[in-house]
Amino acid sequence: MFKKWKKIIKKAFVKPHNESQAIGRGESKETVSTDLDKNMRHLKAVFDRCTDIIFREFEAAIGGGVKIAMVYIDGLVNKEMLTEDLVKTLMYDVASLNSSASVSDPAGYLSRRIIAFTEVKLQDNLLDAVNSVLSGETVLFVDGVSKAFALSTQDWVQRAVTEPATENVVRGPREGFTENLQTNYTLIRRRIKSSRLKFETMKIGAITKTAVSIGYLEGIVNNKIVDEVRNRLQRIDIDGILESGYIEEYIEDAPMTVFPTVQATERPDKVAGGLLEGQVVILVDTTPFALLVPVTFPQLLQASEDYYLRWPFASFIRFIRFVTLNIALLAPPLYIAITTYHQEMLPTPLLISIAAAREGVPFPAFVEAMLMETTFEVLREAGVRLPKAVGQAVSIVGALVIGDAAVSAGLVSPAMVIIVALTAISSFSLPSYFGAFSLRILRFPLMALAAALGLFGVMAGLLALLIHLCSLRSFGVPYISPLAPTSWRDLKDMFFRMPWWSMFTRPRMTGSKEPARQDYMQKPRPPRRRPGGGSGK
Amino acid sequence: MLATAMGAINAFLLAKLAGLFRGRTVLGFMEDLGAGVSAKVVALIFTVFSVHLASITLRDFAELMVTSFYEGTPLIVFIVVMAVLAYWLAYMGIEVTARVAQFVFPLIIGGIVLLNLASLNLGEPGNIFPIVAKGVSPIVRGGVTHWAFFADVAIWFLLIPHLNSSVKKYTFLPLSVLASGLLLVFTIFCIILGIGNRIAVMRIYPYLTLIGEISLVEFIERVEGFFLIIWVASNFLKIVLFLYAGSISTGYLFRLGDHRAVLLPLMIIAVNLSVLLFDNYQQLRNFFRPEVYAVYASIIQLGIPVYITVLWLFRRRSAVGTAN
Amino acid sequence: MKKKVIAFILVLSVSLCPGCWSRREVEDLAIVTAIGIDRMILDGKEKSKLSVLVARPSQLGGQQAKATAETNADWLVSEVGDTLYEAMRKIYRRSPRNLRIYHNEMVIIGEDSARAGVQDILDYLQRHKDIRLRTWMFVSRGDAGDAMKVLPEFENMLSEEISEILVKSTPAISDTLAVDLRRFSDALVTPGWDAVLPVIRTINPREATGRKREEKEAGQTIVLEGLALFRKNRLAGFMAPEEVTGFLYIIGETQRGAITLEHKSGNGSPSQIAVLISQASSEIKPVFKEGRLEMEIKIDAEGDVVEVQGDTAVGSPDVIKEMNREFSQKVKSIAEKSLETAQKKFKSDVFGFGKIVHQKYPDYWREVEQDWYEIYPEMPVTVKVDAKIRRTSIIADPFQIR
Repeated sequence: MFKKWKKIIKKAFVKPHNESQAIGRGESKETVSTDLDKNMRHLKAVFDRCTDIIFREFEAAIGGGVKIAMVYIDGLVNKEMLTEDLVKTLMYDVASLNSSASVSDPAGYLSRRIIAFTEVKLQDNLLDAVNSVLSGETVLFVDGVSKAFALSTQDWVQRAVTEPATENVVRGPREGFTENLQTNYTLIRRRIKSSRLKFETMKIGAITKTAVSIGYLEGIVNNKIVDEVRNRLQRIDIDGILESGYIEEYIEDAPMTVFPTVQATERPDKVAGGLLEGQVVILVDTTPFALLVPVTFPQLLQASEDYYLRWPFASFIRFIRFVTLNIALLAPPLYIAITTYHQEMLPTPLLISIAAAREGVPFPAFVEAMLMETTFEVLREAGVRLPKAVGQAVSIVGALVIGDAAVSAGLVSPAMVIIVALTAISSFSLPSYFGAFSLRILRFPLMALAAALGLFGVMAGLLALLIHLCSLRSFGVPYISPLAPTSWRDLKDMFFRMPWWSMFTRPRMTGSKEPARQDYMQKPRPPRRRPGGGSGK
Repeated sequence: MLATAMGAINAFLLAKLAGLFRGRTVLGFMEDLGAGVSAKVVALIFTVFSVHLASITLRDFAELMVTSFYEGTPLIVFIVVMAVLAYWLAYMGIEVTARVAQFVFPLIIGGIVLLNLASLNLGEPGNIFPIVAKGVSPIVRGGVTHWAFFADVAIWFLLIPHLNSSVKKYTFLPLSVLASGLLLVFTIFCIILGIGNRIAVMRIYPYLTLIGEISLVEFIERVEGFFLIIWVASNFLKIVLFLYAGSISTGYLFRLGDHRAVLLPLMIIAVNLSVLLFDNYQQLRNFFRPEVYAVYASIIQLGIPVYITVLWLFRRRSAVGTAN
Repeated sequence: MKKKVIAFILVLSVSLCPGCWSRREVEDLAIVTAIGIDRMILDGKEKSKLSVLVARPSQLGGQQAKATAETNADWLVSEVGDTLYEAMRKIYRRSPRNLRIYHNEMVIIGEDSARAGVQDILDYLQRHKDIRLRTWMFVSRGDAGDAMKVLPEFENMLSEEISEILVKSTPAISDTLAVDLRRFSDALVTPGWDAVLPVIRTINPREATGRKREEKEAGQTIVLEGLALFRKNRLAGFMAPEEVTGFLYIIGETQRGAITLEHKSGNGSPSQIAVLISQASSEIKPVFKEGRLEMEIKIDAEGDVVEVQGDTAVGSPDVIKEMNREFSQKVKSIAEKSLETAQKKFKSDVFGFGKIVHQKYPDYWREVEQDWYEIYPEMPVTVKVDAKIRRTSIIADPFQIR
């Protein structure tokens, strides 16, 4: 039955395009001709009504004033460099060269001797030339030469490297990725100075032609994972990629889950750490969010700072995080379950104060909780969307509405306000914004179950959640991996963060190819006493 | 304690025997021995046994929920919710089941140990003495039959080939039985210490009673909720196990490639049985009396392995005989 | 995948659609804090009377609670029925909220009811899933229902007041014993061990200030006084607080009782010396002497001098030595007094002698179990006491004006 529907749907939305159809008129596999005018006519047709494309034709001081044309996009290139190094050179400086010698290979000669740029690509194809222009290069056509010269003159206004917005740290580097892929390469390369760090780039998006790059550390990474990532990326067929979120949804293992099986991060140090543990990074141009795969659920609970703090502190923070994880997910459901089903479990004074606080509240606990949690989610969303100047107003309104007015009006009980506040704070304390998202959503069905069946409902919900979590995989790695299947070795870096000198191995699931991370016996110790010397007698 | 030791030995034998199968299930092994018909019979017994036990576990679980936590809620709600969850997990296959078990097991064990330790401060050493007179049996009989499901071991029999071969089968089975036995003894000890022999015998759920008594620093008290959590989790695993084993043997019985196909009917049968099998709770308790249950369990726990061993010995001898 | 979703929806719908059988919002609950059980004859038929104290959350805790309580913080309601359960159901008729007894702190058994036998009451208490074994048990002089009419003097609720007195104060004086349902039932079901319960009595002290509730009870207050001794199923009699101290010495559960010694030094008038017991333990040993069972009780006690009325020089080790003898003598005499009451007067084996014989000589016990209650009152019991004074608090010799 379903198959039939599928067929019908498929027919209705027939696959759109082959490339040239979709992209528009004029682009074809036409080669660069020796006739400059012909080339220019072609390009002008392609870039019809594109006011930001600049065509500049001039005559060079060699070859008896050979005609040269250059094409670039205004704002994507460094004009100063173009003027100084290209136009000036060709118009004046080359005159001093001995230009009488005839050249057998004019294109090679030009790129070797004349065009003073570090990166010059020779292109035969007009389509390539067009793409070069679009990606910010300057394309040079020389009359009589059947090649186009693509010069890397890219230079556009970009955001500086700033502190990431989502994953803040107290200790650790303050750099975050930017929207520029090249900058992001640099940020990673600065941290891993190894020839084993590889980046493979491909263009995804039929129209946007966004550069997507897979990075990994050769020898450490499991090649199967890299192949898998590559395959999944190549399968993507879409008109445009504007953010790594697009990619994420196409390469996920479990598209129908609330849990992220791909980790998005803004932190280059986190990516570097992931690479060293055998993860694969996917960088997407025009977004500061890099994707790390494979990822496990416990990893979503870890911040990069965990590795910079001294291990007792880091372990303590991790412990706190597990507590807050549970509070964020379970506090409202448990409150509902216990106050409406299992009052016997509360200490008597507590029960009496809750009962006293709820005296006169018109809603059942479940409705009350739903109301408050929803209000909170709304406030939170409003806080993110609103202009910064208005943010203050929102928080005041929120505090007054939720905190005070609702309580004194007797609409909600103070106990519920405490629970909601606790949940909110707890969910903020999770390092991964996107991991915390799933908990925010799951809280609601759990609350419904708690209202329907009390603790048993919560337990049933948790079991279902557990079954679901256990059945998830991220690029072949079980999602709750160091826990189940249990790897005692990896548990060192899970509930606790053991000292660095004790974590000898990379995680089993991703780093088994080259398991040793470091040498044994590096625990700092006092220098060995010289025989006869030292203290004592 | 005796039961634990017996269980451990039994488990060891089973594991040893399973080692003979070289990666095949009991049923496949029996077929190898040329006992195709009796393999079918054994498969049938396994099926009936698993489904029966699954339904009993479901019923027992739901009874406790209704009497102790949810007065007035129909039994069937708990049975159905549990059964659906168990079905889902069994459907996901042994690997996911194993992972879930791996996750839940430490929680169960840890929870029990924690509760026991917390209950120790209730202890009145004096409570331990009357045992001398009558022995521990009334307690075991009175309450802990809920635990003493060493017959579950037989179910592992079916599952052993599915386990990772790196797991040391020979030690793992008896060790786990031994460990659970020790935990059991520890729990009984805590119960006697905490609420006294005579009251424990009187109560249907002595462990729950014990937990209700726990009180630490005048705030952590009435922690039955923990018991509820443990109870749900452990019963859940048990039911999944039974359901899964049942589906495997049924799958074999009807030569189905995919055992999942029979999961749903098995689950429905189990749910129905769990409601129909017993009129009242006292009947269920009666079933757990050692005289009844032990006989029932030993069929599967001892009978089948012995039969297979005999069969195997017989075949081997005849094989040796023909070689000469 | 689809099946997974379907399964999840199924679970959700199964739990959501019919849901909520046992659900109760907190504000719909009447939290019972104390239960009183009485027996009464109505129309020639034996009936049970159940009284419950219900907490009024609005009068307790929370910011809405009014400081000037216009109503009592707890609500007393009682009904009569053929069974206790029926009486409870009748209370429901009057209660606007659902009665929940899982937070019940105590059960008070009326004197008449206790004298008539507690077996049926115990069945109710043990069978009810919401009654905990931790519940404190009491016997009241007179009707339990009447005792519960009294208003608390200090705390908000009567139940709170009684249980706080029991838990916090009695260990400091050791003249009654806190007994919970577990211990009470354990004693009842153990052959050779009889139960005791603390006694609640209403008194009318002059300084007590009555608040509302029924006017005639105004000025009454509650006091815990001594123990009620059971013999098998029935209440046998009451033991005065001074004797209870002796009883506690024998079973070794004295915590911090006080004793007054009379010491006569030289030719002066005897001085009264208060001693605070800091530690006491006991050992009960059954022995056969000439084929006859005897009990040997050995009590070790330690105490500090906390008050001297007179001029005994308690700073001197020699005086202390003398006082040790008197101390031992005193402990022995009150222990014997309690033995007299329990063993001879009420023939109630509250010390658990039978249980000890059972443990030590199971074979002999089997012979005598049937007629233990004939043997027990005649059994000779010897008490040996070794009591020592250890300290004299922060001054040595008594305060003297010169």
